[in-house]
Amino acid sequence: MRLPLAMLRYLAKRIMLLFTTLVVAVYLTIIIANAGGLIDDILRAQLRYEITSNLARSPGWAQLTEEEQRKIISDRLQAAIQAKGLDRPFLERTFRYLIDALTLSLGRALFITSASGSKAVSDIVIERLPQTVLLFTTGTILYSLIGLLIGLYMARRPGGFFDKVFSVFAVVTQVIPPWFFGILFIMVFAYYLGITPFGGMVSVPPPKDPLIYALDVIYHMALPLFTWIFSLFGAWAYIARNLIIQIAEEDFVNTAKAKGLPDNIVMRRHVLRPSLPPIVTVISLSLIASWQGAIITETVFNWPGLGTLFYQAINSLDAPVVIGLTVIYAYLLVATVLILDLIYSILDPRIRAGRI
Amino acid sequence: MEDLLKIRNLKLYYRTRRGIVRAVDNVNFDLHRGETLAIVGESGCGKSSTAIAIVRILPRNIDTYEGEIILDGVDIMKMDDERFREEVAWRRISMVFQGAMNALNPVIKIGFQVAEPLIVHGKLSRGEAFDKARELLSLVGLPSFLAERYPHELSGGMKQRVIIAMALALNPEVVILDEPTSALDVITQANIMNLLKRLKREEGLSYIFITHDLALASELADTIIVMYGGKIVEYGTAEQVYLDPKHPYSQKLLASIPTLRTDKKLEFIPCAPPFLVAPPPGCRFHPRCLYAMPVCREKEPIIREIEKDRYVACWLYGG
Repeated sequence: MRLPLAMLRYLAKRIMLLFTTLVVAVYLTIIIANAGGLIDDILRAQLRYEITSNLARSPGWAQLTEEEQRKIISDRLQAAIQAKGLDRPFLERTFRYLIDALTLSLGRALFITSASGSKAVSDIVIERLPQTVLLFTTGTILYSLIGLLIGLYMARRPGGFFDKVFSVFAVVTQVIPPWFFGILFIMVFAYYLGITPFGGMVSVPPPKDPLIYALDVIYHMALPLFTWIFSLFGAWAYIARNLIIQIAEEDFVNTAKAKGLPDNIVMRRHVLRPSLPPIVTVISLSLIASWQGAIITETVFNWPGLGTLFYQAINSLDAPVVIGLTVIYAYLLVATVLILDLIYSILDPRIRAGRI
Repeated sequence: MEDLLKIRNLKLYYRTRRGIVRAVDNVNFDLHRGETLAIVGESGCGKSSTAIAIVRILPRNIDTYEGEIILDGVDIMKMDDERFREEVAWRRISMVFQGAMNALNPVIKIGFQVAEPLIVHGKLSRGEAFDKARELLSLVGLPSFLAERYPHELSGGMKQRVIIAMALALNPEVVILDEPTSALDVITQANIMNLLKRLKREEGLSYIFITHDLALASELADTIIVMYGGKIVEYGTAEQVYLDPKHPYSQKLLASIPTLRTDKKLEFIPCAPPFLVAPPPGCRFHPRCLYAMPVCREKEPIIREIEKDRYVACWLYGG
């Protein structure tokens, strides 16, 4: 029973560490998203402006003396500030925000509303998340698989014709951002050829039949998905190729060959198997990144995902939405890293023993 | 003694950016059954290349790979890769690689790595092969429960024992030891050398022992080959080479071995070993040789038998 205990201890250690990471990350986000308390001043000024302009429009306001006006404004402002909790010191509030964030009570957005009209941050995020996952996570899974297969093929004959041509392709697609390909492909496939829509997720008005609705989404998704895969699989294939070539030069691979093992066993057991941990890491990290969406690519394709939401939230200084998104993202990251640790400890005995 | 392995005109040239490296250039020698042949020389003299040429673990940048490797009367160079893999690799010639620390796959259990050739070549089931692997581990003096462990859980000396056990799995006739102890401390080194001696006696193995360490080679070797610049410069029994080295290079090499608590001045050979893309004309050792004569710069000495079973390639002995 030596092994499971070591593994439990290892996992417990990891959970502690990851939880600390989560707390620190969320706390920093709270401070940054509130601009270190600066947003409070903006909020106060905004409250004052709203109250003043509301009162100014109310009948009989002009009859009051200036003294009375000032008193009413300051009373109302005080009440509003207290209602919003802005009277407490910023530092104290950050800790309250932290606990709220960690318990996933994400509060209400300042300005942004969800499509269904809700102002709750969780509603806004949950409405967008599936759309991002649908496009970007699918894309990431597909390009990881395609890239891995091509990387394997490239590693067979390093320096060969295919390897050279594809290495150039990888560098080119890596340098050019996905949204550029997006614009290019929209021009070719939507404008000239007319075989795909220009953007969006469903036709307007959306079809009623769920099956037709699904087909319609796929029809709209095809071009952004293709763009995403096209611009990212090359670089990943190149990474996979390098990893595999590096492992293939290890002494134990030579030993395996000298043992007279057939090529496919050498490849599978002595090259691929030891290169799995880094490959799994890269794929998982891309998966996490995919949940964030892609701000510009989403904008180009008019895709209603988390990327655009993040952009809106930052632009309008909507701190609760920024914090909410970051908290959810941090939770997803921590969960993925934990799952990754588990997979790692299965794949690599050295990690199980806590050596690395 | 019966000839087990005959190497004739073996050449292994690598293609590099700077030109063709003649790492093994016309090498000839015989290995008798039950004999230990040590190949010694400086780094880059072609000793490891000779080994990989015999077991056919070639890097990708091969330019020339030719000659005859006759194992028990059959030229194994004529076999295609598939036949070589099935009939010769590990079954008849196995190898203990240099850099023992990396010679085991870090993510596979020791037992399986030792058992692997038995499963592939010996057609044993996993269970049977694992049992055999445990026996092999005890044979090299390791507790058999180590079969369930991973390489990182073992010390350097233990790993080297595992690699030796692995090399013995299919009862090969020839075991090539490429610097088998170079990464180990002296005590562990002595242990491994004793183990190799015991295995040779008990299992009737023939070794090709590749090392830069002449003192270590004297522990095990019956015959010594001194290589320089991809060629054999001296070839004789251990007594002959150690007690009366003929080639100036062998003499220098022996004079550079430190001895304990004596006031001997350690000698070294000035300049670096030759650059094998463009080796010096004539004798490859002449730029560093104290006895260099005009002829050494022009003509390459041919290796010739100066006494019975004693070969030297040097103009001092008539070229």
